[in-house]
Amino acid sequence: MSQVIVITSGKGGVGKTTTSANVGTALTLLGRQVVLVDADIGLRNLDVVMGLENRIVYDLVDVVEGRCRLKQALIKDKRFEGLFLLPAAQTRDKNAVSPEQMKKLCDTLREEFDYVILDCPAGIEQGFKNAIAGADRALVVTTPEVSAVRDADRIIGLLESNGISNTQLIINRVRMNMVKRGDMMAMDDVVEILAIDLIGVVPDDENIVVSTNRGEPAAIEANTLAGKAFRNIADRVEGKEIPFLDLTTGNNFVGKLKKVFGFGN
Amino acid sequence: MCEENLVIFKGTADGIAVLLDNEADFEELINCFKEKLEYSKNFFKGSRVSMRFKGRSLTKDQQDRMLALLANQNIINISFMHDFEHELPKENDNYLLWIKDQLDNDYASLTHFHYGIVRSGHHVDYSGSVVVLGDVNPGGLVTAGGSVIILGALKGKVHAGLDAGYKQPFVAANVMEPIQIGIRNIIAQSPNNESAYSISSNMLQIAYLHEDQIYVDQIDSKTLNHMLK
Repeated sequence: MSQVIVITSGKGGVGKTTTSANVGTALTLLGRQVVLVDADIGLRNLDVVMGLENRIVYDLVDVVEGRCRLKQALIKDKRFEGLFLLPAAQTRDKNAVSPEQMKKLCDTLREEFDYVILDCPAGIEQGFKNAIAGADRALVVTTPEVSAVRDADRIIGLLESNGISNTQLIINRVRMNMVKRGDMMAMDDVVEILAIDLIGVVPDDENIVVSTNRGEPAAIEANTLAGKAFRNIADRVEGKEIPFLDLTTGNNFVGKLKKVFGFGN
Repeated sequence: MCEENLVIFKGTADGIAVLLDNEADFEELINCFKEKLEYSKNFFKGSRVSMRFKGRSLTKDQQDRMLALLANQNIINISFMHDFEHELPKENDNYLLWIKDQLDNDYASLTHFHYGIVRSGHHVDYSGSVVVLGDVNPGGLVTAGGSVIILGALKGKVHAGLDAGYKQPFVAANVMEPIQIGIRNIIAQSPNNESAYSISSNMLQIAYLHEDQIYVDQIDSKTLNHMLK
């Protein structure tokens, strides 16, 4: 049974695109057929993060407006078996497509793929309405900041009123040492306010910045903490029960040593 | 078909009000009532309602005849019969306006139940009182003519007592940490000092108005005495 999942947040810059790229990649690594759809028309990023920018010929708007066939616009990621990207148009804006057209597109993609992952733009306007139109499930990304949590709350309310109740939470960019000092919201506080199920906690990891700039999803690297976190999210999306990562020790040598010798608390 | 508006069936909050014309001949009226009952057979079929007569004083004999009529029909299941009322609509008063008036006078005592969390950007507004089964999150807003009860945490904004006719408006919540709280025309903020308002207890807390000040306290006999003074 294929699923259309929208990755959304309300607030910008919390890691929707990074999450879309990595969860999509991790699902592919589990042997699923996945298509990543960039719904951020006019501000496309997903192709850059995936390192596929130079292969774009046709885009989502071309498909919707009938200038090309769907197959022509889909870019196959040669690194992974079964991963495709449908890029957004850069020269148009959010009003170039309607929710009905997006719904139709999602239903077409649903027939071909196990997972259709929609990278939603920030905000609650047309772009958001387009992105959620065809979705039957949502992953809400937030960071442990009051403003991001506030926006996530608004988004969850809007998803509910649009009939999407299958919603899970990803807390991104968690810095455990700051949480410990009491300078950052703890996971429990975030979950308590938003009152939806937590599906993943991703640590703030420098590797993400590096891999994003290089166009290689961090999920490829199973030995980084962030890569592991994204793979775990993919497993949980599939319905497996995986315990949450222990983020208390950093992924550095000293942290591991401390853990080995019992200094890590 | 009988003359328009001799007998009017009106749905109210607690059942059906039957408005009787004050001028017409009683024989004509009772025939009309019978006819209307028959006419609305399909609408009422199988439902159980309470019924109330309004708009005309009836003599004991007339009341008995109306009741007999109701008893000998199988169209409406009357589950409760109010006493005949002798209230008369004011002269030149439209029936609809009169009904609206009756409802409005009593509106603040009606209660709206909201099931689920009131999330950021969500506004629950009701002219009566409101009960929320869930939290009111930061950015969420509840406004009510009467009182507001939150079976959860209040972390957003609440304004109660907007209907001046409602007596003793209050706001009650399991966790009282509102961004802003208003009762009548008084608006207050939570004190900045966190420990001052997060009384760590699982008891329901209540915010009420006393001499133009909003007080927040646990619900106990002392608080209630102060509040209801």
